[in-house]
Amino acid sequence: MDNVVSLEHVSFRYGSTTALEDVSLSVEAGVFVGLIGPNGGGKSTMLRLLLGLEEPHNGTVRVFGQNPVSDHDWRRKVGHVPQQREFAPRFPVTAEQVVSMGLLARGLPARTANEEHELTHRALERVGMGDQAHRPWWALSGGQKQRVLIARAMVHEPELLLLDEPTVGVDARGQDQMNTWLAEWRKERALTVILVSHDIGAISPICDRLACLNLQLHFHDRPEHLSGEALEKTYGCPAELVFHDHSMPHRVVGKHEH
Amino acid sequence: MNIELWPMVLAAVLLGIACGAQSFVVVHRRLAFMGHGASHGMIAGVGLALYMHWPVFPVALLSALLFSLGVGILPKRDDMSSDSAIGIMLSAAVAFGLLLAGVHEQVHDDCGGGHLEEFLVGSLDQVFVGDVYFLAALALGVLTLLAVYWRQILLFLFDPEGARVAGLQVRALHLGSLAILAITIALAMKIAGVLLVGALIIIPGVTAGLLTQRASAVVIGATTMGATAAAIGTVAAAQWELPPGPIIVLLLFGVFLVARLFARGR
Repeated sequence: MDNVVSLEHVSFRYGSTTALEDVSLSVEAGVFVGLIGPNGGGKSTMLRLLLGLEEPHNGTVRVFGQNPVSDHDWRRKVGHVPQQREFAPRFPVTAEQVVSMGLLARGLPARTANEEHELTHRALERVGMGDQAHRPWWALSGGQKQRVLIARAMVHEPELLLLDEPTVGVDARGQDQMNTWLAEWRKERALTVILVSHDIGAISPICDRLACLNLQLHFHDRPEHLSGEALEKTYGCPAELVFHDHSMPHRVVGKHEH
Repeated sequence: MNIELWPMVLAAVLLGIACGAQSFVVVHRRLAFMGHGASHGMIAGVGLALYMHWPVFPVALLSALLFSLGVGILPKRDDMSSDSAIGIMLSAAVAFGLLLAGVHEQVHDDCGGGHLEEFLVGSLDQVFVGDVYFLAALALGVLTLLAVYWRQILLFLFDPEGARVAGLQVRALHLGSLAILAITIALAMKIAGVLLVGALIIIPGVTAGLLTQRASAVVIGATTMGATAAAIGTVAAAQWELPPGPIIVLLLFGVFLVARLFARGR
């Protein structure tokens, strides 16, 4: 199967601070990868490399076989849900305007205003925000903003969805809803998902693969294969994890010395 | 109204339109201090033009452009914050301009070509019919760019990184908005004056933003506000033989105060 995303021996530094060191990772079409690791471990940096916002100092990054910095065709196939704190809270736009921004990606076919309106409203309906289209951005709750950003990422029907900590500031019900939509979209088409999260317990049951990142990639396999040793390497301390998937709940425990 | 006053009023209205329309971008792109800096940066150009007996407008325009684009590029290269770069260049430009204008006034008693003071606070004596054409082209250009690239501009202001991911030419948008800002400031110099032109590109956008929460309504409100204040200020300045810049700015400031009180009461 073709790789949607591939990183080969990628290293990246912010000045003299290393963010990623010799990371290699490939993601096949239709796979859901949960990217976990401690703060400062390089998770968001990896997304920035995939989105062409940064260039690696060493190694190669490919998205749909293209260089995300210099090529452009990949943009129409990618949806991105950034962290909410990156937005100006009082900017005067409506939910509808934010979602329609997702139709501005380079390479997307030209559409009439009516077609764009229809796509925008369909995306809003899909995330349960159809009746909130004309509400200003600042008047939306954290969970509603998150839904609008997910609708923006999905409005052009991408093949790859990248989400950076999408559940921060969202209650448990909102998290469950997001998981349901992701499952539905993956059923409808071969959507590839890379989701950055700090919450291993929440991400493990819904992803196909876990990637544990702390400057280096310490694990990339099915969640149930995750060992305490890999977790300890990722977080730098003994860690444990309880799975809440459909199988029997179980716990992976690292070697505690106390 | 005196027939000779029409070109001045028309020039002021067109200036108010150009400033008000781009005020939304200036405010949300956080270029307010940049506008203030670029307008003061023109003092270097005015001083140099007076000293060398060159035409003031092109030299002032060049100095505003150099200031804006210089500050727009410098922080990227030198890891320096924009406000520090503006603060340093603003002071240097004002010192340079004042020094040259001072030497010029010592050497030449008649001061042909104008006094620095006329460019600091604006003077209707400096406004000619030719300025109307320049300002009409500027106002039309700003409104056209806003209309054609409206959604791209909204994305660029709301989520600059999202704009980069979408493949928009964010660097060109940034430098383009700085260049238009510099041209506007240079054209505004004669009417509003170097010291006060910053207010014309900041106050309308902030005030309209207090009164409405729709981006398009903010632009329309700011444009109307800028044009109205410029027209009233110019007529009042001619009536009382005062510089127009301070009157226009005080009118805008009055509307801002009322809007602030109104917005707080809501």
